[in-house]
Amino acid sequence: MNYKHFLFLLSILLFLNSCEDDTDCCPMPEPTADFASGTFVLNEGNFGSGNTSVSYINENTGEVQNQVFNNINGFELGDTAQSIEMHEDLAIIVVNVSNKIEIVNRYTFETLGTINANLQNPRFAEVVGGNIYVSNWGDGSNPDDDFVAVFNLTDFSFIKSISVAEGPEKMTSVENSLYVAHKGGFSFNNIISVIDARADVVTAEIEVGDLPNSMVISGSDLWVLSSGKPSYAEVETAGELSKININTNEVVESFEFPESNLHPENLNLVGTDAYFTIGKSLYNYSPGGTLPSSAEFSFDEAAVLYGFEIHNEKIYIASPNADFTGDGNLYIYDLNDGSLLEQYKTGINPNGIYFN
Amino acid sequence: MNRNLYLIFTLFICGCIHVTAQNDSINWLDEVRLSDIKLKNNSEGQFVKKLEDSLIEQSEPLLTSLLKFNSPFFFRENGYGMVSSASVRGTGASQTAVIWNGININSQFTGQTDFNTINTKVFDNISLRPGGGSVVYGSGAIGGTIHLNNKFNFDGGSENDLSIGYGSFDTYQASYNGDFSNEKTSLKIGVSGISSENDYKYLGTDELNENGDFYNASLSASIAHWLEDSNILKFYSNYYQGDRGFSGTLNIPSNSKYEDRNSRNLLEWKSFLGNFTSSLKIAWIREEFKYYENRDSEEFSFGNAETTIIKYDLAYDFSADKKLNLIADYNEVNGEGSGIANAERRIGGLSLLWSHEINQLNYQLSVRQEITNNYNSPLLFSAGASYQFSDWYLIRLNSSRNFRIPTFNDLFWLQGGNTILDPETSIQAELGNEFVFNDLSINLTGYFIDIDNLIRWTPDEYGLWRPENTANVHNYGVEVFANWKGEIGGNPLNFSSNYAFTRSIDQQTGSQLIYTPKHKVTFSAGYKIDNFNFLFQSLYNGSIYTSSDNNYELDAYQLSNFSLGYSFSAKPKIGLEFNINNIFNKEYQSLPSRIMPGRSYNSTLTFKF
Repeated sequence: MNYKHFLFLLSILLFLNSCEDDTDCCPMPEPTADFASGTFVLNEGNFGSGNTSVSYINENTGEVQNQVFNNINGFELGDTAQSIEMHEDLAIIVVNVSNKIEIVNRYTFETLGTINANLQNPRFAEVVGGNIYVSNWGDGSNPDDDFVAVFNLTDFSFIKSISVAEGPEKMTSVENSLYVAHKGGFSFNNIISVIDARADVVTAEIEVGDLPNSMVISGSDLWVLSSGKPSYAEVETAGELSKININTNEVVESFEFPESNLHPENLNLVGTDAYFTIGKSLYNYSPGGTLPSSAEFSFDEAAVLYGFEIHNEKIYIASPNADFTGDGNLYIYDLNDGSLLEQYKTGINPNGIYFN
Repeated sequence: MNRNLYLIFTLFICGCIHVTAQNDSINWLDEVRLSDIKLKNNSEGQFVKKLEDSLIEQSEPLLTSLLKFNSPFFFRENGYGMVSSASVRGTGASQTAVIWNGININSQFTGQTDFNTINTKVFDNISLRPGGGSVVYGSGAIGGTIHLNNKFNFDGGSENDLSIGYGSFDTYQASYNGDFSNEKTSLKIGVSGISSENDYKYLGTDELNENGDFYNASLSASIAHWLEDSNILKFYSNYYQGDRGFSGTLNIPSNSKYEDRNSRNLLEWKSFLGNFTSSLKIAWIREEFKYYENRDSEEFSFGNAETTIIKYDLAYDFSADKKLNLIADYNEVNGEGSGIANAERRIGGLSLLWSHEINQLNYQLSVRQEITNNYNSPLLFSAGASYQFSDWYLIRLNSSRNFRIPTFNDLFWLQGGNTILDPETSIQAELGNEFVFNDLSINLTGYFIDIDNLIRWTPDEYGLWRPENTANVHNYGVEVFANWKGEIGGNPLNFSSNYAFTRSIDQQTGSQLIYTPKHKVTFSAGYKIDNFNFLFQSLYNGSIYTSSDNNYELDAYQLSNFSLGYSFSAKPKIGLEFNINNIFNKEYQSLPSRIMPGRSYNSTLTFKF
């Protein structure tokens, strides 16, 4: 080896190093926790490991901050966060295995309070009027102890617990009506229950397809997408799309998927177009028309569509590492042509995407 | 293959004609006293580490506690007394087989043994054999095998050992072992139990280990009886019962409970007919668990499996230095449980074992083929040799193909079980060196294992978790067992140390497998003076990755225990022992958020009469 070249190489390396050092060495301005705009990814972590976290991604600058909650608040978010409900200035984080809810300011992520009583296996939260409603499975193996817990939005105090059918999961609301989709917890269920948020009682149970997984509201219609029972069920069933009139709480139209191995998920409404996924493929549907038979495109880069959102003509997919142990990815696709626009590293097992 | 078998059969028949009755009782001795004679006779090219009886007596009755300080194996524990699994030579929990009196007792559901559900005090000796062993010990014998043995005496004596103990966290333990024999009959009884509130403090926090209470009790009885000069009947029985709260973790409370009920029975009829040794074994094993997500509720999920094994082993000694075994066996397992349907397995197997001694060279060759409709069964083999170069140097060489068959959970789990799985198979080789200089012995082994078709549960595109034969892993490393026995001022002093350097590399990602430390070291020193004895034990576990991208890891830790014993009288022997575990009060965890106990104390009173 030529030593001159070697020294030259060494000096370049040193030079490069010192450049990096320059940016590292000097005191950075105190980070202002300003999440005025950008994307949050909720990482559930590993069950039992207490390593759930929130990542912040600014697509404009390419900035990624991991462990946002822990870094800003100085304590751990907990074990297996399931979902976040964004409401006005609040981000309401439901931490499933820790049996708690952390409430933070969505623009600073500073803690505003913790709810850690009257919850058991909490799943999702929804704000209606002045209250927070939280769906709970109770003991996963007990079908009779499921409930929706109600808390005061101002002081986070417990108000009451409403007993519901097995496996309450996602919720959505119109005015004072809260719609709860019952996937069925450890088992299977097929109803939407309706809670009147003025009296906090269940006023109706509407039968839909097996395992309702997503709901959207369009005018006076509640569209419910059910995935159908999976292949390991005694009888596998096809997915189903149901239209419910929210004035009468009746199913007015339903579309069953043609094959029992078709299990659609992630119903989204963009303008007058509806989208859903089967496996890793995206389908486009015009509400009221017949179900599409061919996919628009598919998301080959993702291991699993663990979190899915459509936002500003872009599709956001949270995808865990294939074996669910390491850091996952956020993939951003163009809604119009399915091209992969960007990709970011997230925390462990990302399961949801939320926007400021 | 078939033709070879035929040839061997004819060889046998020819051999028969020439047989003359020989009563070589010396050669029979081990066959009579041990049930797992293969561990002694068929480990050529591999190192077998026997843990001394005194070590078992001095240790806590949990197998994890015994082995983590006295082996190079790494243990992952959910907490003291909680679920615990081993990683031997960088392999996974189901790639180490636990062998009870020669019978593989790994769970049919998980493929592994929970090392905190083995109560050590009812066994006469515990041996470790790193390396492959599927030809003789079946599924899971890839990283190594751990042997729990009972041994018979026909010395006409009787002995009773009784011990009781009490320690931190309201831990009580008691055990009794009785040994009675005359020339014809030998009887052994062992009973041992431990219970603990286990509510230790999580160091560095205000939290306690909640819901970690446990008890377990194990009962063991074995009897051997000579029918006449050349026929002996042996019966071994072991029953284990344990209830545990599954403790919470750092952030999460828990209210669950787990119950284990395991019984193992083995009947053996052994005959010595000239140069033939015939052994017929019938074993019946039952495992049962119940899991309560909420211990205050009546709801539980469960599993139970019943295994019946019939094994016939015919050995023929061509001469004092040449031996052939032909083994035919049949194995039937039926299981049921929550989330499991139609779990059954029938396996027929045929093995041939050849061993030969030529002066300083010993070698062995063995093959096994299984026939089952459960999976495609590979031809298993093992070839081993040792050569004694000099008084102080022995070299060992072994190569084998081993497997880990899909478990009932892998095959029949309703939510994703996959009935078309193949077994995980390994090709492996090791080179061992044994140095013996007076009081010092050192065993140094280098190994390489190539494991294919690793079964992993990963989500499919619908998010349904399913097991698949996916990964290929290369494990390599070095293992050292060292031992020095000497004396100072006429008083016995001994040191022993183990070390393992382990690399376990996923061939797709190039990363070290999770939960496998690169380094593990143990060290212990024992000293005896007058009526006092001292024992110091310590271990170092290197850091482990907790994610497959190696972005997350748990810190390394070092632990030390100290014990002081005093014996009051020699006959009957009465002793008192006082132990301090984790003397430096180190906070450590072998799984994330699962904090292990800080400093703790216990004392034991023993009687021998």
